[in-house]
Amino acid sequence: MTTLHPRPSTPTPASVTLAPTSAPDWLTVIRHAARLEFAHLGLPQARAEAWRYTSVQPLEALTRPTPPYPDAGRRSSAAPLVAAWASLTPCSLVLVNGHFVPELSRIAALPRGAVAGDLKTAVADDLPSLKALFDLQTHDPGRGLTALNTASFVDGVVLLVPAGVEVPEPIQVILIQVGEGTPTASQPRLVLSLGPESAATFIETHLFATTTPVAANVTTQVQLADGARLEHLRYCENAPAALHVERTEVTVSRDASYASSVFLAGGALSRDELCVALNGPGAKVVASGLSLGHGRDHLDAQTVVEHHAPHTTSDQLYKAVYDDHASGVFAGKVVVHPGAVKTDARQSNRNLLCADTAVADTRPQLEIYADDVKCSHGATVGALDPQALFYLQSRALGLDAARALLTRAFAAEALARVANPGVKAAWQRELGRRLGAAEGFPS
Amino acid sequence: MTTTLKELGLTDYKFGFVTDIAADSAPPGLSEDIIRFISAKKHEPEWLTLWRLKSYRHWLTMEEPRWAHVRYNPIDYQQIIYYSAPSQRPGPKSLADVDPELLKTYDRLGVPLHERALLAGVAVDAVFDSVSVATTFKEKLAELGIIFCSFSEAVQTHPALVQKYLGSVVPQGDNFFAALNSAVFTDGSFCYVPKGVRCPMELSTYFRINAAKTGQFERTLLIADDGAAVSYLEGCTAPMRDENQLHAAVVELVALGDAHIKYSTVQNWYPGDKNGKGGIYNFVTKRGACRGARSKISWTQVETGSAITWKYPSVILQGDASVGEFYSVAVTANHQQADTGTKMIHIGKNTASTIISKGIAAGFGQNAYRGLVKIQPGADGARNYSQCDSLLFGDKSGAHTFPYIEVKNHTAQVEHEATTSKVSDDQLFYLRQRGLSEEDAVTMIVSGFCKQVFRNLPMEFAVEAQKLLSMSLEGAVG
Repeated sequence: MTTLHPRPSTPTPASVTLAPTSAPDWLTVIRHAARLEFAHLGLPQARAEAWRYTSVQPLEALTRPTPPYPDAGRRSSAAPLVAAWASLTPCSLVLVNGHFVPELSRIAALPRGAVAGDLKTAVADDLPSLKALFDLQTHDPGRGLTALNTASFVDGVVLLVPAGVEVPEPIQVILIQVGEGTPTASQPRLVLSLGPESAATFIETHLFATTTPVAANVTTQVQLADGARLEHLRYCENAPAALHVERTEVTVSRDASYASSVFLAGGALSRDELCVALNGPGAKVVASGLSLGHGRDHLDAQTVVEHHAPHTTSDQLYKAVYDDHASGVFAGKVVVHPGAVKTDARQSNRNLLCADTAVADTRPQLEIYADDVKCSHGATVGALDPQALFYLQSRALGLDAARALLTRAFAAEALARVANPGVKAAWQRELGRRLGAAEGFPS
Repeated sequence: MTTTLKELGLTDYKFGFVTDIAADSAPPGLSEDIIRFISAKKHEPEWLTLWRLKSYRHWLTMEEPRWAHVRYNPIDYQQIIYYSAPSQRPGPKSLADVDPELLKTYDRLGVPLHERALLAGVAVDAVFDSVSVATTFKEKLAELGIIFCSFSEAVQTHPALVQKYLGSVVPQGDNFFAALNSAVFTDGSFCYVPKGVRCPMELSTYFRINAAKTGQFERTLLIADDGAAVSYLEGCTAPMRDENQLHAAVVELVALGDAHIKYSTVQNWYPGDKNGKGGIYNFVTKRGACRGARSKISWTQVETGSAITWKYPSVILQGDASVGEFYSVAVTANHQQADTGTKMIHIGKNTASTIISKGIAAGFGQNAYRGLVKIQPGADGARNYSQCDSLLFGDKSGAHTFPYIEVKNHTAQVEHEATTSKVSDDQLFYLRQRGLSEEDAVTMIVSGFCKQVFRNLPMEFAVEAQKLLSMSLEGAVG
């Protein structure tokens, strides 16, 4: 009935690195190639178009060594955070500083043939479908960070769902950063593969149990076979000293559908890159995002959607609220390749600036090489509508309450697209808490 | 759709004739000597010669930009002739002195230069290759204090004005092509409208590249003083040639307090043949500065020609409550490529800008809109609305949108919208069943698509633009 990795009873040594001997030859080759590729590509350069509005200087931190397996003290400091979020789903896998921690993870029964577990064990077992996933290549200058991750990841999470299987409960991976004495950078790797006509929900929750600077470079690879359906939800907690960069590469086959939602709740530098290739007719992606920036946060949401096949659909809605000195970026590119006729691509980006000193930069892009298509994008930046504020004030709401209510309504639209009810409720709660919840209104 | 429209724009270039006039040219190539030669030929004061040399030295340190969404073979800047003047008696005093061959050329172009100018009420400063040929209506404008003459003449007669404003909007080292232009520009138009004067007629320049292997580097400087208003028209054509020709112009507009400038362009440079051979590289820097409060600059462009178009008419909104507008129709057919758009830089309070861009791509044409809307921290109450629509004909054409929106003030309101689609079968079917031929139906749909832009053109140009567009559409339906 259940296949889970690793066996919960497996003792975990205090310091684990992926020993070359435990890795299959093909992975050693791929990692070696990635090392060379990273040596060639390096970190993104300041003049790179994809990094136009985000400073590349902090990225230097990502080349630090990966942290060792967290000691008992660090594992226990992660426990309260796990407890707060693990209730979302019966199955949650916990990575602390990029290492899988079995005693914090909760394992539930999965349908026959489905695998959810840590990557290191999966690699050691040399699961046959893994190789194909690592072979996935995209040609993008952003690959430098992916190559860095491939070359240096220690552990991660793998989700494999065989043909025709629907996983009823969402699988959650909780990634926690705990401060280390010496500066380190964790490189978690998440690998998801859904077989034909299968379905799953995958939640990533990134949390920080530290105020010291930490850095993480997450790479997620998603492969959806014909007719597969995945809801992929990413939440990134506010961390004033954290550098968080995540790149998700998705391939969507015929009639498969991929739904992505990302909630960036803050961070010194938090960047979510989503690259989706719609490779088969009828493939579909629905992506939404919400960025909430306070203090000196810098939040960056990037999407690239490539329509390679006819009759493909993409629909994106990204919203952002920036307060104080926060700044944020949205860059969304839609490419319709030759032959991808009957493409329907929509994209919308809306930004709300709440303070004089907040900054929003947005760069929606359309590149279209086929004629029979319907593509549109829209972007707005502005403050709250004074008339709407006036209306609420004339209904006896204080100015602050009116602002909070309108801001919340603005932001909530992005969360409305989350299908999983548990996550939607949790995220809405977070939103309410962060916006100082319009007092006296139900959250 | 039952009938293909991919042949859109296959009609022959109707202005592709060569005028045979002995030209007084510099040898090909670029060096400090050539720049001194140009400067000496034009009897320029020393400050201008030095200004050119400074630009040239800066240009040498620059790299040709590669970010535009266009492809072309490297340009050999040493193969270009930087100075080519039709040789004639010095200083034409009246139209009678002008070479009749030249006048015939304009005749075929339909420039209202002679008596027709009077009828049309248009004052024309015609630039033939690099030297302004004749300027009509000069006296009439002079009565109002308006200076409208060729750039070289302005350098001789109004050096103080030229020195004050030249390079003040587009600095010498602004970009690669602007630096090149600053070094080698040969002529262009100069216009100064004094305080409180509304120019009573449309001013117009007609550019034409005639000689082979020449580049055209004209420089236009237009100043509207406090409370002045002027509408300026610019049209461009070039003969058919196999090789590519470079056109790197600079246009600078200065609007002081309450001044209004309306700048309209119909660009119909030779686009190259059906296989993409030949044609003009149109790499132009156009920028206006709304220096005074409540000033307004409005760019309207209809881009149907050129093998490659690379231009971004921009407005710097410095004055409080100043207004910038950009209306554009860009057509790329056959192998034409266009990367065009605008930049609106909001600096003053309560500044407003509107961007309406319509792109039409047919055949192998690639049409990109690239625009920047920048709201600086002090631009309280700034407002921008942008709309970029693309119409595609044929599955080999491409339409691209690259808007950049940078907002550093929370009271600003910025909106951007873009859509891309082909002519819908439903629209065509509806018009066909009302008895229109498919060609007429397409023409009607396309002019409807462009209407928002055309209605901002002055009368004379609206007619010409409509004509150009329907000419491109001839034979589009097979």
